[in-house]
Amino acid sequence: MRRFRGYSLTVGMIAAIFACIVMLQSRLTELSRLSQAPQSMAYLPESDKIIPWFLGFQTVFGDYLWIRTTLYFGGHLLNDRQYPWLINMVDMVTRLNPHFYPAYEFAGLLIPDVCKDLDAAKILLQRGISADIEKKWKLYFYLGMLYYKYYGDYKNAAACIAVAAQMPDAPAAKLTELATTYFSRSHDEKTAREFEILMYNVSENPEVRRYLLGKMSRPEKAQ
Amino acid sequence: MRSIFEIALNTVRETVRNHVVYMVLLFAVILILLSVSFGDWSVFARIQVIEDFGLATMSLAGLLLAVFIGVGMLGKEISSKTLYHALTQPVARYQFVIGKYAGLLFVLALNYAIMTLFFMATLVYLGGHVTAPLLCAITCIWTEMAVIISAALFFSSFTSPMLAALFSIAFYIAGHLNDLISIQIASQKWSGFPFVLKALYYLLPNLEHFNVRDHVVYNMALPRGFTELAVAYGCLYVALFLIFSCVIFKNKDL
Amino acid sequence: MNIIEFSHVSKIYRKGFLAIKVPAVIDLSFSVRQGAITGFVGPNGAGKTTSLKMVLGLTRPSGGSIRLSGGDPGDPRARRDCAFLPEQPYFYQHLTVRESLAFAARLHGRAGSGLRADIEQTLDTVGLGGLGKRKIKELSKGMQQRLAMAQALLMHSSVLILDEPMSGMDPPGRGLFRALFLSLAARGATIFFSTHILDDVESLCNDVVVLSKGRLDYQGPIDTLLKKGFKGHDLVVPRLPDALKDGLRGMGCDVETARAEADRVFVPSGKDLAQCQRYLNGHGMFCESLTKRTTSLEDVLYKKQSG
Repeated sequence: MRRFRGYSLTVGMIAAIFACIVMLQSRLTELSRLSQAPQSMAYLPESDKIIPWFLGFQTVFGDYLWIRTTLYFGGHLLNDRQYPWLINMVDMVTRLNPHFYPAYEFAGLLIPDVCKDLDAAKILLQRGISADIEKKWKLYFYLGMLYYKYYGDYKNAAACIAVAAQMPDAPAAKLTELATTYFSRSHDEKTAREFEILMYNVSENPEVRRYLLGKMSRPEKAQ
Repeated sequence: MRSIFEIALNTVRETVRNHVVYMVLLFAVILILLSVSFGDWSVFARIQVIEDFGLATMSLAGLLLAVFIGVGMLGKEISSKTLYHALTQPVARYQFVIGKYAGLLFVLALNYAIMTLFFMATLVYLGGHVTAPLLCAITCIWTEMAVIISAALFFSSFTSPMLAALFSIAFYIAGHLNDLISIQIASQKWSGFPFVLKALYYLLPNLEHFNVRDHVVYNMALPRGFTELAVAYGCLYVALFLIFSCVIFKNKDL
Repeated sequence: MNIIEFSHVSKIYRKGFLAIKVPAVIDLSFSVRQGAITGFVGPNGAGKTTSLKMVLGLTRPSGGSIRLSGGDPGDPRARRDCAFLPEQPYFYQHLTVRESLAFAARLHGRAGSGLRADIEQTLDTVGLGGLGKRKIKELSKGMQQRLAMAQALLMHSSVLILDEPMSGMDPPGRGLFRALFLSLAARGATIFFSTHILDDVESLCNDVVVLSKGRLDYQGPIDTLLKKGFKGHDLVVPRLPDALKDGLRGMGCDVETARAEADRVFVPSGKDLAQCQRYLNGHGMFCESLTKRTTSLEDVLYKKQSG
């Protein structure tokens, strides 16, 4: 009888622990999903298949790979100036470490020039924008410059810079000016005016408001 | 309780007099120092790399301790018969198991305290900051290692130390790949056995829940109460493995 | 009162991939009296060590029941007054002598300021005085066995269970152990030990339990077992004429030459010694010496086991 009671108590405890584990597991999984960045397009197979194999050390591998990337770039810069693997390396770094800002900045500033691959730079910048990182306004800015300088797409350039201007820590005055300039060049006066009004209402920066007031005072150009 | 305390104390004494602990600690300290170099090589992200490497080092050091020392806790005692020394006294077998675990957990906590102090001193010296999320990450790492050691103890209660080491490493890998199971469930490729996969998903601890390193390193906010839930989750698995170990060990012929 | 009771105990091991049954102990029933020194003997593989492990709860029997101090051996409370000395001392090698004794004492519930003094005194008793700081791994096997005995003395255990306690010990060590056994028994302790040294069993034990191939061969007082080894009497007499030799042989005695001037007459147990003596005296022959002829315990045991 005593032995039966002992076994029952043990089985009961195990069952209770399992029930608590199931509840906690579900809650923790839910909380983890809330703080994850959404995936974007990639050159490599889906990261949700690769990343688990790093056993939680994917950001460490990402850091190591970033070191290798900078050494690779520096080495080839001094030699043949050919970078066949650079895009892949930067892509992998951002896959492993979606919050690693320097890699996105590198992609925005250097890859269009040295690798001549605009689409790759665009995808990488978009990935950075979709991740939860600091200084996001810069990535919007770089994307805008990419559209302006390489694609000649003033409209999209203006849109990106307009978003950048509204982000915290961004130099709103300069970006607002740049955005309105690009809107003008894109001949999309309507969007330009809407942007000016939005920035005037939203901005707390007196310089921005002064500039926008001056702009809005001038008559609209005919479409 | 007294018996558990005495056995834990003996385990601490034995572990502290074991050179493996010092080797692992030295290895961890060297890696943390090396991370400073890695940080210097890294463009624009020095402190982040150092934090990441430091936390990864602590995690790896805990795994090494769990495998090298944890798996021998019971297996070595059974093969060398030193446990006769305790079990022929008025000590219950479950007290012996819990005492061994408590002793090793204390040594692990001591090691982590030393590593944490060293890591934080390095970080502050190089211009970083010691933040509450960093301490949360260290707490989660320590909890994960407590789970690994309890699993190692469980395996060592019925297999040889070599097999127990292999099982512990496999358990660690499987725990980190647990998310793959949820992906398979979601993709419905295994439409014939979703309940099998779901059972497996809940049976195996998801060790990724203890991985909050990227939240800390990149200043992402942890969901409220996450650390406490993760620690509670780890404690439940520790309790489960200890119960299984006690049940198996109770009926074992020595 | 019986301190240890075995009742129809069996132990079957399963070996190998196919889990083949290997019986170690078969239907074993015996008991150990309180306050007695009981020897536990048998050839290698008889099941002695298995039985001792079952008494201490280290191994569970496959069948039957065992009682230790009235309780189940698996219950720690039953081992409260018990001390065990294994054949090979299994101490934690990382501990010093003093630490090992203190560890065992604290597990037994002993603590306090008097413990250190007790440890030193006990070490002196077993001849390990001054070695308190020595690491266990630096001690020889004999010294470790003395340490094991010291542990038993320190706990003031009333039940000592020992597995070949004197194997590998030097003669002074064996002498010390014998003296300790006798003094503990005088204080009412129960001592149950297995051994291959039958001289120790003959000289120390009140009772003996004999095992053979996992089964009980004999259990009871040692005297009873030794009496079974009594063969008869030897009489040494002056050289006998052939007629007297024939007469003695007719009475069932055996006559052989002892030395040049003397013969030995063997009167088997069961024959009338007095009648033989009267016969010899009647023919003017008188005994030079009269001795008992007995077999040793070793002969008794091995004769029993070889059938």
